[in-house]
Amino acid sequence: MLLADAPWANTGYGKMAANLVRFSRVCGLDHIWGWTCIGGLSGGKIEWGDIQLYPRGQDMWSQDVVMNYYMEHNADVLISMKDVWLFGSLPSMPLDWAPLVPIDHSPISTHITAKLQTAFAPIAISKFGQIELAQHKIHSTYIPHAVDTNLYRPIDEVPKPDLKSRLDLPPGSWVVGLVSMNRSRKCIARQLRGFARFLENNPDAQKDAVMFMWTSVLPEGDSAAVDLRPIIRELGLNNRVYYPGQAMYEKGLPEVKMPHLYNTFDVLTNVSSEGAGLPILEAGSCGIPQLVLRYAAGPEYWTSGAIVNCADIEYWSTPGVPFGLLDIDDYAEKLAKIYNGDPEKYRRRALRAIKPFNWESVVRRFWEPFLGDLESRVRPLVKKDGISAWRSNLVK
Amino acid sequence: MSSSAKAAEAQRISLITPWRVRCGIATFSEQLAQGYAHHGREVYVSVLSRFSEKQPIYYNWLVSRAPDVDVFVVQHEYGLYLGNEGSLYDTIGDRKTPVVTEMHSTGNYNVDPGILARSDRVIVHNDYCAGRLPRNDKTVVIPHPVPMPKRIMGRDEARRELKLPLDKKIVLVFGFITPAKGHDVAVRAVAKMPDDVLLAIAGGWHTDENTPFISEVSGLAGRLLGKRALWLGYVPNDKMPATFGAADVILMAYKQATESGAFMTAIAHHKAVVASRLPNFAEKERHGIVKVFQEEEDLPGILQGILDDDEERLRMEGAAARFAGENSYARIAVRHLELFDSLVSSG
Repeated sequence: MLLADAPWANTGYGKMAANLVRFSRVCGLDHIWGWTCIGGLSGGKIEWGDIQLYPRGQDMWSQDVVMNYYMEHNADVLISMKDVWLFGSLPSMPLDWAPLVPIDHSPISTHITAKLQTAFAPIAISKFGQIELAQHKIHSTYIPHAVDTNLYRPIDEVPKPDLKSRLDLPPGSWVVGLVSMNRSRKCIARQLRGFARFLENNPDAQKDAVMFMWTSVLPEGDSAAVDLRPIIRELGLNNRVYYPGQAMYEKGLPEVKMPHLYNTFDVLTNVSSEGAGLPILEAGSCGIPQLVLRYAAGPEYWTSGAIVNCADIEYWSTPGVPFGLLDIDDYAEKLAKIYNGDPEKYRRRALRAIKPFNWESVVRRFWEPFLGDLESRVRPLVKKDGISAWRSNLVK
Repeated sequence: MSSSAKAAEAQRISLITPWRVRCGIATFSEQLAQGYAHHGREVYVSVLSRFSEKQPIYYNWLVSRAPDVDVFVVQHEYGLYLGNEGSLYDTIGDRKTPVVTEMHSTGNYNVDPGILARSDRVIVHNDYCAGRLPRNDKTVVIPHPVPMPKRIMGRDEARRELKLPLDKKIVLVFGFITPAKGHDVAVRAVAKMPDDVLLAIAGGWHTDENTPFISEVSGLAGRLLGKRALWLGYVPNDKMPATFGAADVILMAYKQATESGAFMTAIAHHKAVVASRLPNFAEKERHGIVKVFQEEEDLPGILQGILDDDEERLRMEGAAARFAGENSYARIAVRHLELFDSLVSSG
């Protein structure tokens, strides 16, 4: 059973979970049948394809209902896709918990390690995270994020200037694109400062360089968000930074349109303080170079473009973890390198390096053995010739 | 064996137990299941969550999803069920299948009668545990099995591996560091012995990394023994042979015990054991594998007696080797299977 945002939720975790189900079916796996929604469904159970979706509870993370659903569904394992430090009661429930654990900092916060003491099978989404967990004697299985490379692809059939026009960008512009929630940890303001420094250092780029941010520039009432408008004004970027209207952003883009968005970019800026992120893979899959931070798992997900150095760290989230801060001068320098580089070379490199992150490949290489191994651990059948897994009528 | 007798075998066994977690009963069950399987039986494990907050309905659910079998075997320790045994046995009862409960401790008068009433047989590990149950005709004493060690390691080789001194005598205390294990008694006893006797403390924490008791013991050891206390920490399986091999004698100054997996592990490594005069240890004195002490003040003398008398130590080690052979998991598994088969036959 999954515990994640509903499959249609416009979040990275919702998208990950939906793709896991979809591609596990493509690969012939029959392990996942139930899904407890954290957000996106309330009021009653419904079916989504052959998956039983259970509605969220009163608790923000559905911890008040998940144990009951787990038993009702006769689940063997609960795979959660949410930051583990958010969970309060879940770690002490009598279920076999396989949390997907993003580790985006070092050393790991005790808010995270404390929650993992009873976890049955933690999943590290980066080698970096796996090593960090191992240092706390927490064994994990490495399963990276993945991308649908058939959907996220270079869209050569529409000329790039046309794609840019669709977003009201100057057709001849060189676009630095950003796809991100507006949260302080995403370091959008600092990336804007890096972009401003790039323009300052490279007067020739002032003729065509613009930035397009697929984000909410308003704080959205979230204390962790930043009002980006004064920063854009302060940096003199009013005529160079584009973003969707609030209604358009809130409405969201259907996933089939996301590749069009990425294909509008000449480079993706994802120099968030967390290092890695799904947009890095999605841009790479579209052949777009990326700027990422040399911090945590950022370099692992990077496929082409440049890696920006860290200038410092800052502590600014609830579990008190150290986050990386990009070096503004280095950001400007790396952006200039890509600006002056060969787009075709970046594209070829990205498309070659993205292959291991293809969903089918990740399911076959990582999820299939992981789920198979879990089965014999949760329902062991001990026989003379070894340990396998038992199934009863109640277990699909 | 005739084909009709074969038909009465408990071929499919459901084992309700913790599994593959840091827990003595989980380790016990894993080895016992291998023993059953070695004799051609199929063991369907229903994994009981070990460290969690369990509601009664959880136990119903756990049993309800188990496959159809010939016998249910419940590994029981009070802390695993938190007083919710009723839910478990209610659901097992619905399956109309023989039930055997293996009780790792006894004496809870709120719980024991219920287990006896709902089980077809109750296995306990010694006479003491049997005596703590209400009078009944279902209890069967089958000893706690002795595990098969990876290897028996010689003293000098073991000490070289662990970088322990070759010219000292070592008393080993082994097991999770909890107040019931009497680490404080061990420290005080070894402190009264000559300086060439060291106390090795092997074992980790059970639930919390640094309990007040661990702090108390480490403080006491620091004051009374100084460098004569050797903290070996949690011992992974591959280090067991060296840990036991390095010791001259094993001390179990337990304040309370009904049976001890750590004791069996010491015997498995053919070691002489000194233990508190608790009934489970005293029962085994007749096998010549353990010497028991009544008063703490007697302990240094008993330990020193073994350390100074190689002949006596070797005699105890030989007895341990014999006991281990006679009570291996493979042999104990056979006794369990005979019991299960008798229930299937009579049912």
